[in-house]
Amino acid sequence: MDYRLLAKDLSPRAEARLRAVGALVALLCVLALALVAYGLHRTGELEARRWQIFAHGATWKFLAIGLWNTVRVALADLLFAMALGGLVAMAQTSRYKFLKLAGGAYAEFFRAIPTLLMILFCFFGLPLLGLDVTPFWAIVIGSGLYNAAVLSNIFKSGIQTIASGQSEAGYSLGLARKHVMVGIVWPQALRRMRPSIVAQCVVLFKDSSLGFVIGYEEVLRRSQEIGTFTSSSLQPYFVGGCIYIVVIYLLRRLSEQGGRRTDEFAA
Amino acid sequence: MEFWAQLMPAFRAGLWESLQLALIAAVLAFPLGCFVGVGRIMPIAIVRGLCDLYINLVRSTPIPVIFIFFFFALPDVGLRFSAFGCAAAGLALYMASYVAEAVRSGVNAVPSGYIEAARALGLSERTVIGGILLPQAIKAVIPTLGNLSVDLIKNTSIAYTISVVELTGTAVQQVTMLARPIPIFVLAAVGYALMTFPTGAAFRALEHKFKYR
Repeated sequence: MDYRLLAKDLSPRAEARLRAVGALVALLCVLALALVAYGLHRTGELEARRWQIFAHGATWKFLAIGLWNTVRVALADLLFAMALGGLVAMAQTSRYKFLKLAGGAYAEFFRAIPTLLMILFCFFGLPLLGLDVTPFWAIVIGSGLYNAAVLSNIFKSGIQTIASGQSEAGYSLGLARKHVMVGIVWPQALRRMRPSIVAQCVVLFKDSSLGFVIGYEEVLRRSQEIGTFTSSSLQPYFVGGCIYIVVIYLLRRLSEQGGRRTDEFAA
Repeated sequence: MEFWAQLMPAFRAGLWESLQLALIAAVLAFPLGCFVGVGRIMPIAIVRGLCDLYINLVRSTPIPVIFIFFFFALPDVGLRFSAFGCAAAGLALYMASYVAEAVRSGVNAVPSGYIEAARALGLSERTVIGGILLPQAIKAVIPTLGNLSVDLIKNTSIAYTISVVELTGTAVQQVTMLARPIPIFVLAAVGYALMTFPTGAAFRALEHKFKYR
């Protein structure tokens, strides 16, 4: 199904109607934009002095370090989630019933709980167990536990899509189960699952913005600090939000391209 | 025992607040998502462009950014909403972009023969889209919609960032008062599980029902 099909062989009257709707929508857009611009102008939000703080290099450096903190925590989160998710997937695909059940229960439970709740749990709860948890580690562990559950499911279904003939061929060559899994099944499964894994990286990156709540110095928290300094809200949050949007958009484009490339190899 | 009894009233209120937030956001997000999803296949270039822009923009924005922008930045231009209103609107906008994407992939899954047949019968465009295309598209993406609903429930917790006292907010309040984070957060987790598991099960049942008909 393609949008061109809906536009095919329309009567002249239908075509005229579509054109009219298009023009109306365009007009409404222009009106809405004008309204927003007028609102911003009337409240003085567009005045140069309100944006002056962003003319200083130091502001951008401050935000860049915030972005680096976001990237840093996302990378650590990814490593933790991949390792734990791999273990959980191994448990889920193991021959032992107990491990299978435990792995399945882990994935079900942690996908049902909000990431923010787990980050807060790590931040407030783990220090009581004698662990010294910084906001950085609270995010890595809290968000990592969730992402490990999602990744384990991706890994598991990846392993299951590898035709059983592959592992049977390995067994008939006299390989042990661990060698079949590590040498034959996992490499193929990982390649097939790459698009889903990269897509999960986008989720993981978005989650790092939750660090805002526990005072982690990421882009949003730093925008707020700029706002406290200049006693404004709109401008710093706008800039901080744009940084997030641009980075995540690029990441998403990258993940979609990666997906296409894998398809080509798979074909 | 006394400890749990002390917690219960606050938690009931928090759970109810979360549930309300999720329901309001869902009621807004699903129709909006369908509209945007259909807008993306409309034979009107500007409508397609706008819907594309909306989806790409919102899907690239973390939820805390949306909430905080609504709650802290919009009052600067004279638009002031309650924290609950900001959270409900923000969640609805966010989830709608995902629903739209799901609807689009469902629409892609409908064989074009259905559309051609419907038009050959002389049905109006509205019937072709609303009566032939959308029902099949949505049926095809029920599993995705189920996952999105579970995500929506979990995402209500982010409303805590703008001080809505829902389940997560209640938990943090109780932790600061009673200083016993572990049982309190576990209780909150159980509260979320009570909402997410039945939702997931309901969508699986729905999927099953449509599969064998």
